[in-house]
Amino acid sequence: MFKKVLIANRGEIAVRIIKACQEMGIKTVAVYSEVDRNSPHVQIADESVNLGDPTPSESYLNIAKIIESARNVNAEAIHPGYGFLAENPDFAKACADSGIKFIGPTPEVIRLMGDKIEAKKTIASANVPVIPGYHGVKQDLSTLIKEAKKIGFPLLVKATAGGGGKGMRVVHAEAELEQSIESAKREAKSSFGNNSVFLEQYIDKPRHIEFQILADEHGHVIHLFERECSIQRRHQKIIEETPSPVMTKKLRDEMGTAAVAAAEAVGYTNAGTIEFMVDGKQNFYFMEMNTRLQVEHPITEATTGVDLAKWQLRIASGMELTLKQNDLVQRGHALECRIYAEDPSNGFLPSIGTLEKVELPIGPNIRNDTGVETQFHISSYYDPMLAKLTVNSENREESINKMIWALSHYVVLGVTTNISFLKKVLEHPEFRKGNITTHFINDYFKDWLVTKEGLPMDAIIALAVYDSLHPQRQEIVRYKEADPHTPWQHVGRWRMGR
Amino acid sequence: MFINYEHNTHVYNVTVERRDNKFFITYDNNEYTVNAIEVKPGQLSIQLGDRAIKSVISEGEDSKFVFIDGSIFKVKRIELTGRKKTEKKEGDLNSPISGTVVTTKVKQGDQVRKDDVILVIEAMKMESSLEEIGRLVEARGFDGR
Repeated sequence: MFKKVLIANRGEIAVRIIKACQEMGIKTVAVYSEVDRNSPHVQIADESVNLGDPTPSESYLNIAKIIESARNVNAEAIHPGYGFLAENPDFAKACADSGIKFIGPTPEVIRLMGDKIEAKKTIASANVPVIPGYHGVKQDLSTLIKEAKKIGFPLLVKATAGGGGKGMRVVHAEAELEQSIESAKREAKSSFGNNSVFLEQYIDKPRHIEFQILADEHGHVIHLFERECSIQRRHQKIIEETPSPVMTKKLRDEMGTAAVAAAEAVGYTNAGTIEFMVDGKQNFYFMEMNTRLQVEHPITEATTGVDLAKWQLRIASGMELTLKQNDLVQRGHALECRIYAEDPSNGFLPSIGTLEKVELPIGPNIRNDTGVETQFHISSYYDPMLAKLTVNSENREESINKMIWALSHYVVLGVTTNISFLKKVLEHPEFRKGNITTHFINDYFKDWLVTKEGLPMDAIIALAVYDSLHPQRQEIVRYKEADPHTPWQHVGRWRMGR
Repeated sequence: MFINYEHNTHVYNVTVERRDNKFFITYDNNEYTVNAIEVKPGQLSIQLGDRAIKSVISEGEDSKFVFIDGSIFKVKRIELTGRKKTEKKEGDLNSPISGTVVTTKVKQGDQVRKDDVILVIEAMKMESSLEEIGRLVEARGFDGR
């Protein structure tokens, strides 16, 4: 096993990986940009390296700086987390070239799966179904428009190097096509440095269901069942659960087998996820493979009892998988909510500010993954996800009720968050019934507003109480003038602590 | 003590008097008598009749955040000194987020209509068009910077 690992990430995922390492007796090195100097991930790590300039390309995306940091501290391996350099084959290659173990698959596999077109071709050859579309190399506007018309509308424009909904547009009519392609290309260019896109038929009543894979470096591949990730906004997941309410034993066996076949077809190693689209008739299609630990991995951990981050470390250090497919069971039901600093009543725009107060819900089977704390400043440099909240119970209904309780006790003050929105989604009768598709938010929450009714009476009462307990300076002066016998007359200069 | 709270452009006029742990609050011609203590900084435990209100309040730069039963409200305390609130000038369009301008779709002097995209901003790796951010009710020109 490694003695020292550098974690090339920030926020909750860096914290989660550092904790896994520390439990296993591995020393940890955090990296941070100037604005993250006091972040929780830096505080809990055994060592830390300042990457300087907070611009991602100068810090968490800077391959040279990170490799140099790892060398300077004698780290044997680098865990990339998710996002940033996690799916960058050049980074994995640079690690290998420097004699540092990259905790993930090989650069070749990352490159292959990162190219969505080649990935589909390869996976299709392993007899896994894929969605019809244009995956050609000709990227000029007229070719794309011609191919789009062939596929028909609605269709999806997607960045070839994409992921996480970035560089992705749904086109409903020909009139929107040109602007959508241009915008997707720009976003792809700025996020992934590659502006190539592909087009795809848009599936009706689609569910996004993915399978977790673990593969060691000795040819063993297993899957750890599904995750239903259909609740998305801006094509990014916000609520995930397992098992999927639509899953049958037959479909699970078929999809699980396909997922393992897909991983085997590319010689996959370490933790990965095969994403499928499932339509209203339970047909499933391969969408893409994420060659990293997923954001939503805690729900799999909660229902299988397997620690995915620790297995990543074990596999990377050359250990064999001791987990056998037939020994794995899914127990109960788990649900995850992503807590974002964003405004659901204003197009989910990111919200910036200082967290004045953070108090997390605590209780049986409630897991908090967080990389922020009180007084942390949310800047526009990085993704606005603050934390993840995971709960698990005997069944889906109990999980939903537990999650609603937990969200009701989740205090984040200082920025606008999606917490009350998440609660409303969970309370929705169609969600409770399990009738969800990737259009759920658009279908039921398009013009959602947090406070249609205005300020509730309880809030007014609380404010009035608070303000009379914390009078402002001019009010103190007013009291003095009004009452010459008040004790305020004698206290002199002072201020209320916050 | 008279206090005016502003939330989503609506103003709430409240009076509060305090005697030890008892608070007499008047709003909208209704009187509420509550017992309250600040359990720890910002955390209030309020008893209204047989009902308990649990709230957490924190102070931001120019506003307060109130947490009540899973919902959070951003409230500003304002002074009403007889002068009317300054209205937003016609043609002002502020972006609620800071980021990098990727493209501008119009130039100075252009006529724009409601829902037209003015510019595209990139922040936190997501592109947002300014028409999504605020609806342009009426605009005569774009003061390019």
